[in-house]
Amino acid sequence: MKKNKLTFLIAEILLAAIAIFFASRIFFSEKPQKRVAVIIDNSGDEKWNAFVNGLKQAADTYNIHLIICNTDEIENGTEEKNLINEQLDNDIDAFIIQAAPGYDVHQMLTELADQKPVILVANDALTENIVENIHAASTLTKVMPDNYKMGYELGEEILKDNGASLNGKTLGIVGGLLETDCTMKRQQGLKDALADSGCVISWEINAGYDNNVMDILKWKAEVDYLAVLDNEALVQLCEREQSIANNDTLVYGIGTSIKSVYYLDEGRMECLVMADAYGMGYDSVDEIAKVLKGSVYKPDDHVIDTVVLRKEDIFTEETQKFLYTYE
Amino acid sequence: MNIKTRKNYDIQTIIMSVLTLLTIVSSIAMGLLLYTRYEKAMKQAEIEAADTLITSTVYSVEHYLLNMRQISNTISYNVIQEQDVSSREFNQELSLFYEMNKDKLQSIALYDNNGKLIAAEPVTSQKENVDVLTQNWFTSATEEIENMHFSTPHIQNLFRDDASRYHWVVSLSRSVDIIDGGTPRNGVLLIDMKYSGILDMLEKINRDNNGQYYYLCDSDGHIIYHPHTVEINRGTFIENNEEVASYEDGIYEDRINGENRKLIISTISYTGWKIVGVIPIDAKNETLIRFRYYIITIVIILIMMILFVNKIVSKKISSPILKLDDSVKAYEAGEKPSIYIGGSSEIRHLGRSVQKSYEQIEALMKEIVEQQNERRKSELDALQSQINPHFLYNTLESITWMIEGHRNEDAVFMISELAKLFRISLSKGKTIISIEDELQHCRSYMNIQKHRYKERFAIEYDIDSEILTYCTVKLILQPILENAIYYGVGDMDEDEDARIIVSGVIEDKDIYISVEDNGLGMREEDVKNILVDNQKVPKHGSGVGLINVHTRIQLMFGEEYGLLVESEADVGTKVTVHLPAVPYNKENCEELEKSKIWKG
Repeated sequence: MKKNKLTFLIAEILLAAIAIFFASRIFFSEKPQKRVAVIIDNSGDEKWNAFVNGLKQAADTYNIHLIICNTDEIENGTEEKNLINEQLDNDIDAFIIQAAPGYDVHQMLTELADQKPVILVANDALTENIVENIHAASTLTKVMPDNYKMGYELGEEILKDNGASLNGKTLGIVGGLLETDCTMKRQQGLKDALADSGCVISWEINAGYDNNVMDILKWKAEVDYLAVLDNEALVQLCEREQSIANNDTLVYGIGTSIKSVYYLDEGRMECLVMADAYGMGYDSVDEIAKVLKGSVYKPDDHVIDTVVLRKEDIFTEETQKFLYTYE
Repeated sequence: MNIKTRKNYDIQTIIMSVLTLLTIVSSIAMGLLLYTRYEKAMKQAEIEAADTLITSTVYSVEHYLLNMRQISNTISYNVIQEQDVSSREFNQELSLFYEMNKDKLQSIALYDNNGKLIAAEPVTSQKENVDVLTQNWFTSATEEIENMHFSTPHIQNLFRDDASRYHWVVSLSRSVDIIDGGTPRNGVLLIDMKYSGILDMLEKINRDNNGQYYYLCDSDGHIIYHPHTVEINRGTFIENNEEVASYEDGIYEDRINGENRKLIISTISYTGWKIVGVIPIDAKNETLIRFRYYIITIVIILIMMILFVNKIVSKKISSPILKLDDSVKAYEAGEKPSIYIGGSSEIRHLGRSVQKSYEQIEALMKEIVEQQNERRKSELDALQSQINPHFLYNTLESITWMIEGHRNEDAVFMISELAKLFRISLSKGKTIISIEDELQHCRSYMNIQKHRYKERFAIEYDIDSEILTYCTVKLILQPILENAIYYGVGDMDEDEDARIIVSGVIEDKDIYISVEDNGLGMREEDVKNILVDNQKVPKHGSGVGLINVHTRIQLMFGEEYGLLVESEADVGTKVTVHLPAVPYNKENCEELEKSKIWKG
């Protein structure tokens, strides 16, 4: 009889525990959203439109709370570290970061990656390890285009327009921010593409947060071709095309904004190489979501597609689909 | 041989187990039914809500497009056909229309049939090298002049933008008759609607939708709006828009990527565009998941409550049965509890019946015991009565001889001793007498026998006087003495010093009376069998008498008492009577007379 009473009591206690468990699920069933901070320079700039669209679409799909930090220029690792620390205080679960310029950033981001999942976008953290004239990739997870390839493709397009020979032609190169992996790789890719073309690289300048490319260009020697490897510099250049002394200079650029496409349409440049920024945003969140979902998941690098646009391609169905990502 | 072992469960466990099983099965079945019904109702409600939403959106889009068509008609009939396109008034009125609707319109443009721009609002420069003749809106308008034509969303490729931006538009084009400098000719009116107008309407209904979504496609299935347009373009999302475009309005089911879906299709008039609502059938939304938890909680609480009630009910039912069972078990164990009578009327009836049965059994048992006692007493009496006729015949014959031989004194002595003998034999019908009387009976008997045997043997008495006041079964020594005479000393000569010694002692609360003779004795085999009540075993002489005595003593006092026979051929025989030392008084006599075995 005692055994029966004990069995009954245990059964009732077990049932009560299960009932309490499910009752709690009624009120607390919603899983808290994972919070992912996105740190990119000039986050409000239209060059990020497609990237942000991709981020938002993926965040919606994976139920992730995105915090796109409102930033201006991020000039160095210290500024980036401050932004990261602010977000760490804000209970962030993971980071999507564009590496800031400088050699100290890699160490700082590697340390961060030990605490929280980190995905690098657009620009890899610069390492001091150089292999075959280019900086070795960082050990961090990267979702970004192959910047070397973008520079190389731009060089190939210049060659294409000149029958593969640029003998006696001069080239000026406008790179992006100094001490950034993407700038260095794009420059190296461009140079490698034109290495045997006979083209003379007259000068190389780099865009910076504090200097106006147009001001510098005024003092530079006239060139036959101008390769602009940075979106801001490209847009600045195209906006003030009339002020460039030599209108015969043909511009080739790497851009990430719809304005750069518009200027291609306007005929202010010959060719535009663009990365699939939407894909970069979507894939970075996709990868972060997988990391946050399972602790055993090892994130993979993603190489984002690039497209080469010419004026006549802009209104094709394929290009319009691509441009829709900027909408 | 298969032996099936069956576990013994009490009735409460069985009732509780059956009720628990029924409770769990019925509660789960009820929960499942409730959940399934609610899920169906929710899905139905979702479909109805989606249908209502689509109807409302169709109305909004229709209204929006109607508005565009009305603008187109007004410009066509009231401005273009009424004014010369080269006149200043025409431009003023066109400008006025644009200003009135610029929140919806990107631009209004009028081209002649050669693709030359006649007028445009807002006034801006057309891009160089734009060939409108190859653009879809222009070819549609010139090929089907009687209709208005809506394009799918596209980047406007006509005019320069001061902000260096592209504009996504839906083009509404139609063929119009124009008067240019007094000359009538044909042209194409293009109204570029802002795509954001349609986008806003459809994005609004695509917020917070628990997996369901709505998209808009044209009559050929080309996507106008889809919340996953980019994924579709990138090939990461599949939609069967081209197939759906051929469907009539209604509700359909389809299956894409292993997912079953409900499609609600509604067509927008004039354009043939379709709004499609997609509701995943298998997807569980948050409300449904919560309801599932709710149902599980309710079912568990219900089971808990019913189990509790079951426990009480099973206890209520089983308790009287268990109590009755316990009292019956106690009875079976030899206790004498009162049988439990309680619980429901059936159990009470059962209790009473059992009690009555036990009472009847007890009465019957008592009766049987009494009957057995009577029977034993009868047997005892029968054994006792076996002695008398044989002896009486011999004695009376001896007395007859004495009288015939004129030995009157001897005859008187014999008759006197015989009278004593019978007095004790009768003992007022009692079975128990004192050892003193038994010894007196013994002496009387031996006096008679000595006369008969002419003093050929001697008799000695060595009796501890203490034993005289103890009880004995009557007439137990006489058969032993009879045996000692007939088969011991009776046939011995006078010079052989035949002798019988009767002795009596008390040892350890037991009394031993022995009759010893120095007669012929018995073989060892005869000694072994002399007290065995077996007809097949031959007895030495009158062994039957000894068996009777032995049986009578055991019937009265128990198996541990009786006779012990020791004998040796040509040496003699000793028969010892072993009795309990029961003081001869009224109480003990009465008790023994009731033939209860003496228990010390």
